[in-house]
Amino acid sequence: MTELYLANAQKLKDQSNAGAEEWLDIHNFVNVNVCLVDRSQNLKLPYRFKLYDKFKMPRNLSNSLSYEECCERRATELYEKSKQLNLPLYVFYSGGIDSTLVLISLMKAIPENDWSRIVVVMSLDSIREFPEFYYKHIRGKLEIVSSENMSMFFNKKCLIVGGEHNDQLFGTDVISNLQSKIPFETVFKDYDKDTIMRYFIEHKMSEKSSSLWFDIVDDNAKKAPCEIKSVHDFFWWLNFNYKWQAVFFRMLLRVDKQYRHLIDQDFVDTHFHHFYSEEYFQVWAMTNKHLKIRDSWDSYKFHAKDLIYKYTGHKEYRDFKQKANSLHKLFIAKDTPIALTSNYEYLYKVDTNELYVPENDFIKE
Amino acid sequence: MKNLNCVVDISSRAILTFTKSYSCAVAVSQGLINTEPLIIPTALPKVTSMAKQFDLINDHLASTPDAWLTSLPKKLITTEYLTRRKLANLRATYIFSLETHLESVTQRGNINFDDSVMMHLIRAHSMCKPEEDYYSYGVIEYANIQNITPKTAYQEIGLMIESCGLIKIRSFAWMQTCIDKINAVTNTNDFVPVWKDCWEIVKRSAYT
Repeated sequence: MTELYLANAQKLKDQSNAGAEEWLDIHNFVNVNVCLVDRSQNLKLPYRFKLYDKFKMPRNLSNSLSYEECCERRATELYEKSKQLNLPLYVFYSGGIDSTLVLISLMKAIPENDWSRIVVVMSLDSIREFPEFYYKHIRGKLEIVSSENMSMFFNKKCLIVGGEHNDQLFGTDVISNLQSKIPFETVFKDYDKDTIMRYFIEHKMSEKSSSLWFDIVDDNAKKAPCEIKSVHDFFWWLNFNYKWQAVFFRMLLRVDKQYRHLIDQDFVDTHFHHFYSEEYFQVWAMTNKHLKIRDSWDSYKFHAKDLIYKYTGHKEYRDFKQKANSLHKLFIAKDTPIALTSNYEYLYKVDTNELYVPENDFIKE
Repeated sequence: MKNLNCVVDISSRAILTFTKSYSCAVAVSQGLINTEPLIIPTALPKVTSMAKQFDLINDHLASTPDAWLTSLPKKLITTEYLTRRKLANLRATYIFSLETHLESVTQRGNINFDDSVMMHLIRAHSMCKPEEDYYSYGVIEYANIQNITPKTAYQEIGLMIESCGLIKIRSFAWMQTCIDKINAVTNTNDFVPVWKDCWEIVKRSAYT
């Protein structure tokens, strides 16, 4: 029986499947290129998605490390793995906050005389996004290769290190949708149905599915192992709980045809690493909501930016750098399949009837 | 006045459509038998004053042997001519629209310098043998002026070539795919679904 890890939501649209339209409507708010999957396993989706084992929601929130400690630990683990397998670290670098911090963490964890095991996968856009970092910290110090043909690195000859999941830890990419629509002070107020529904409807969700999705997330939030209280918390949880899996797999979905036969569980376990995926990062995010945003929209990821500032001394980047959508440039013009199954099969067509789950939580009277 | 780009029927010299770019004229001509792209040199003052006598949208025009404009003789305004003209106009509209949208993708492949430097960079880069620690004079010059090692210069130039080249190759490939689809349409009613298909390609390429 086919189960999916990831799919393009738009391609699963089938009005004959009860509940499907209401489930899909949230993607007007989140993104149509991904599908939301519940890590808390409370929700019955209208299509058969499998939750990746590693992504079950953490329940034990004790022993939380600081964000900096998480970065140090992760960088050290990747360095050890690189030495153990004798494979270089191919770090996908966009010049944005997340990947800059990945590189900095690795450069701090790895002795300078061993920096040759770091290869920076980048483009001209990466230089444009943070020129000072490239010229001062990468150029002449680290090997660089072009990211335009990213698939060729999915060859089991390196350890791929991406910067995904930092947005989910901080809530950025969902929260940033709201920037132009709500006064900043609103994010710290306790969430309520009217407020949340209003934002959903503003993003072209129907009233019915807005109400349904609020109830779903609200019910889920009440069972969450951490407090979900404010408007910010609510949207952070929506991102952190439901979008996590899609974000992990979306790069794999864009691997070119000639390399797909190499993508299997062994590849994912050994060669494919997103820096911010580990459980200790998630525990940090669940126990440190006060460290995600401060007093303005610009302060988003201030904690991450502070660590970058500590290394680079670049004040302007710390104070003003905002999120830029860099992934789409990597994925541009890719002939992307619709879905990835839990057996790592790439699907260009899906049979929505075959995948449909009639007893789902999106059918309401 | 800028030069006018057009598609001309090679037997009757009837102008089937004016296009906003020469590459668009080439693309339209590819899909219409017995046609060729042509430039009317209306940037030249004499030609400009001649061209201003005509309504370029509504008049039936022809090109002269020396690439001026003239009225198309009435006997050549046949049903076949009118059908080809309508088809050419529609294709030109869609193809130019594609060209314009894809330009935003293609421009990503531009460096902060005249594009003509790219072929010199490619040559200099290809002459290097980094595994033997041999670098071409062009790469060494770049390195010396930038105060970096030849190895770093080689990598940096390689990044530019790869980035710019692949972006442009992709745009070119997508454009050819869409041109082929549009040029295959013979019934004017069939443009809408074909355009929808092409628009998906453009969206994926330019506006993901």
